[in-house]
Amino acid sequence: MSFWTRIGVKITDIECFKQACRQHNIEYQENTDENFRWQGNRVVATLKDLGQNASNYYSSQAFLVESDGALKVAMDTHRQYSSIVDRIGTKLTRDYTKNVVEKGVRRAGGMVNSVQEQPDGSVIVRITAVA
Amino acid sequence: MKAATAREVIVTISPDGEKVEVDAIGFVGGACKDFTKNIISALGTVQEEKKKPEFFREVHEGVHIGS
Repeated sequence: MSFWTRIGVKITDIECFKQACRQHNIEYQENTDENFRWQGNRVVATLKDLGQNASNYYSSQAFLVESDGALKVAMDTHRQYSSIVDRIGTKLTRDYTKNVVEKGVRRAGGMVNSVQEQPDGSVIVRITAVA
Repeated sequence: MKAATAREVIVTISPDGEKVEVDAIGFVGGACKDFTKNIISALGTVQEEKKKPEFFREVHEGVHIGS
């Protein structure tokens, strides 16, 4: 082993984020209204839940907002009021991160050997780089 | 002939996706950095890093002719 690092993830790759939305049956609707804000942050996109529990208009959406130079998912975190929280929890951001890792591995000439979801919801990605 | 060396990187993504741990295995010297630098920069900012003894080990290549 030669090094170990811990990274604080920032959402910056829109394509990987859109890919995560498709993986979780969430519609990504880009916002064109510069004045549209959620809790003071500019809304980049509305995320509409297309899943089976998404019956109520207001409780079935979240927002992708600008925050501290990056993007983040903003939603009502109480599962009673958000079908996205109830259905997928924080997996949207987690799988965005997984998509960024897989894209980076492809670009670096490596190979993803396995992607395994753990009982606690974390994901382990095993990658091979061939000398 | 030198055999290809399998070098592995294990990436652990937290349940909320906001923290990632990268563990590079089987690399010698700074080769692990070369492989992972673009992946890490695309993810976000490094919060903590530990270099293992192998990181400081030199890479010796070539043919050794003994007596």
